[in-house]
Amino acid sequence: MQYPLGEHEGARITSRTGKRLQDITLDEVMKNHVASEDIKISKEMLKRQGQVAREAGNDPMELNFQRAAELVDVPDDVILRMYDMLRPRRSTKLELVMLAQELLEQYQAKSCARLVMEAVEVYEKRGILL
Amino acid sequence: MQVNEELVRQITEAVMTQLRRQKDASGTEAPEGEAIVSLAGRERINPVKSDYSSYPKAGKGTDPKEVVIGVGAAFQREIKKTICGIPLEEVLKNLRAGIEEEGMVSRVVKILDTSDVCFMALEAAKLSGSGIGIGIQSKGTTVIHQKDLYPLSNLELFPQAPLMTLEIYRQIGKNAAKYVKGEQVVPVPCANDPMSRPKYQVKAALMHIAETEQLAPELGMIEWEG
Amino acid sequence: MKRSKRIETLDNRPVNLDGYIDEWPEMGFAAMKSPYDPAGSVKVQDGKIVELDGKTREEFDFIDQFIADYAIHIGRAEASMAVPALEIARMIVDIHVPRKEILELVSGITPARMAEVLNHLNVVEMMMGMQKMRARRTPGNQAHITNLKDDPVQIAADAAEGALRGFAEEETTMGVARYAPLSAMALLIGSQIGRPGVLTQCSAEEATELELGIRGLTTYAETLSVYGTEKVFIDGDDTPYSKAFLNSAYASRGLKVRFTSGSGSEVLMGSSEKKSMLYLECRCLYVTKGAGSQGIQNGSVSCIGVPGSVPGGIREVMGENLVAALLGLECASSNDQSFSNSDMRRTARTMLQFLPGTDFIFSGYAAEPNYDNMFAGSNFDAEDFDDYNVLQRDMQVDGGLRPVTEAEVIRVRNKAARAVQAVFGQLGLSPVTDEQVEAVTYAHGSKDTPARDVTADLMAAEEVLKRGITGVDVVKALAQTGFTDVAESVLNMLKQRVVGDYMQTAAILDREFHVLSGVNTPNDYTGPGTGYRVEGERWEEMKRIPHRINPLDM
Repeated sequence: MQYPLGEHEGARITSRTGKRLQDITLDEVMKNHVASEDIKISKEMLKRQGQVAREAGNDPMELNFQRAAELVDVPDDVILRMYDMLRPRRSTKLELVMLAQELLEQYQAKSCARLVMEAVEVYEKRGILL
Repeated sequence: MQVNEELVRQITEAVMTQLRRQKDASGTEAPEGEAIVSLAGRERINPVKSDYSSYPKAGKGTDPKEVVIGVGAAFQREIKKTICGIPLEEVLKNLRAGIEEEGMVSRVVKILDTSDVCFMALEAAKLSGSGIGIGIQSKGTTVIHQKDLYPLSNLELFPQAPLMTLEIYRQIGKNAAKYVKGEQVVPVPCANDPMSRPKYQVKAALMHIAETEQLAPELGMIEWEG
Repeated sequence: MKRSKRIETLDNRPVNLDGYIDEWPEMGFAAMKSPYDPAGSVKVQDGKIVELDGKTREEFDFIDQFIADYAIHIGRAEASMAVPALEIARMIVDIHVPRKEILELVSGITPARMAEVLNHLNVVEMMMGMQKMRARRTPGNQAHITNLKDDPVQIAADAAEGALRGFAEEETTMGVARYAPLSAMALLIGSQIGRPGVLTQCSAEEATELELGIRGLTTYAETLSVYGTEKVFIDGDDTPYSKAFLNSAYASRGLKVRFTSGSGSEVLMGSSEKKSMLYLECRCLYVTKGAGSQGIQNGSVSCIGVPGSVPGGIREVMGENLVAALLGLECASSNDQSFSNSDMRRTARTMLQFLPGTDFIFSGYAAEPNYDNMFAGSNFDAEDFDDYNVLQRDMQVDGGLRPVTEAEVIRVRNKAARAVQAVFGQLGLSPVTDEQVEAVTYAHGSKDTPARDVTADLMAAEEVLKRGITGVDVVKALAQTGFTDVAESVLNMLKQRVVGDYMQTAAILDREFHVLSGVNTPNDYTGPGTGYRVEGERWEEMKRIPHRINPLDM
């Protein structure tokens, strides 16, 4: 893995919408060929950054990039809602279990769903469910 | 010789009297290091906890003109003055006056289930008929909150309790009332003193401990008329 | 007693305006060690940690459980815990044991053991440790950019000057929280005018901060707060699980993030569970590590008055910075809050991070006069710039800043103020007058500038959110108003989030937008003659302070 990826593999990098990194230029922006949505990271790049982290000996960081990759396709407002549900005393057990299900089935977000299920167990034990 | 000895005795006595007098008038005495008692081993600041079980539980207001002021657990009891020495009675009077000057109605509750000022303000807002509430810790830290905001968000926050004045408390009351009326509100200008932390932070911690140890979460919120 | 003039003089010294208190472990007033701290212990069964620091899995609170499941390298736990704390402490200062080896060893020890290790180190040894364990090869610095009026024009000008002076990151916050979108936008624009590649952040409530980040109005986030006791974590309206999710949410949008924590917060919030500040901070740092964060802002931060009041407190603050580095985290080492009335004491406190160098020596040097610092004052402010530059020159130490000329300062401040004027005009936000541009250009602080129309500004801030204005809109507005170079820079900052290289540990960007992180430019200090040394062009630049004597004038 040649890090920084942007310098070594710039020509091959695309954004979440498939826009090539090289094509994100001021000219293209001014021609309205590049929107805010085009300047977002792809699942693929997040997984690559996860590999960089693992090679640097940082396993928790790789796991974070894995969860992040799973969340790429989750809309902004849904992400905010999910985060809010995970805050203390915001959700019932059922609501959190359904959140895990939503993550798993709708977004194939396995690691995120697992994090939520672990939270359900701990939150119940510590009395911070609704 | 004798005269001299007599003189020495007289002078000695006079000096001793002077010294004794100085010691009695404690204000002029030089401070002594050993006077500080270690609290290590103690688990509370105030050995006694106030009992509020006979107080009426605070209900949800219905008046759309209402602003609820939620005060801290130790307010006007264990703690009678803010961190900078303003009597809490006066603080309350000015907050209420501010609200009333804008034609709104105030109600005071004491919050016994949290001592965190943001959560206090949010709980007050949720009780308030208008959805606007003010939270105030006994040390003087104040927040204006609205019932549908995130707990740690706020309409206005006054984190630097040492810089508060009665005029600011009155302004806070007025602004809270203006939020109720849906007016465009100019926030009360923030005061800032970079040197208040070194001077007051430990005192703030102690006051917060004194407040927190008075919490009685099972009682939630009670009506409080000060 | 008749007063001694000597003692009276001493009583009136600024240092005696500071607050001091005896140790009181029951209330958490204990810096390095409390009699109630647990002894480090671990038990692994079937690949799972079933005992951590004297508690069984059933007794775990949510912090223990998160640490056990995410933060400790389970495969290394038992072997690492078999190494005595004193031996680990000695390895930390031993130049023959490289950083990588320490990182591996330490990844298997528990928070309580970590606190035991730190208790073996005095401050000089901690500094030795930091010099070796810091993640990035070159130290860096971060500024606070704020003002009492939340004036976005001044934010832009101070950001430009700060970037010019060498800060690699700039952070703003508001007196009135609703100003956030304008503050973030002004900071983004101003920073790039001072020096392309500076990262920017707007400290706000978690959800707001995330939203600003997603929209591209900020380029990193820092205020993901974690706490050392469960009660205080809940008061902070989060859990390790919600924070881990939030961290992933930021990463999913390609944003650099660091967490924040610091000793004293649990004391201030009245729930320290009788533990020492160091032990509780170790727990925070393990949560940070476990959540997969690349870094932390710590060193007591806004609670510095608490460790600052107890014996050994400032040693503890340096200790917690070192723990962050030992866990492989980027460390933005505080120094960002006014801490003492004594110039001597506040300078001495900063030397602990300044001399060894940390990833960010200040996690907020007030690049405005302290009366304008809306984080309630920083340990150093704009009036200390020359002192700081002289300290760097005196000791040949890289503190991340550089001397500048008055002409440069005026030029970048003016350009930043005009750029904000143009962008606000282009986007139909609250107007900026020429008079204000002029005042801000030459101002020292908000006392020198005209008042803004707060109501109009707040309406404009709401507009930014309602109309969904993004970083791309800022790029366009800049280009449309002739600030093409600034538009290019802002676009380059936005492009970082497509690649994500700057999400790796301790990453900053140089003026060509090259990433310098702990991965591609790791700290390689292994004793004299190795690691980062102040030399070459950088040393020449540091030498050129203003007010040097010109021998020809004699």
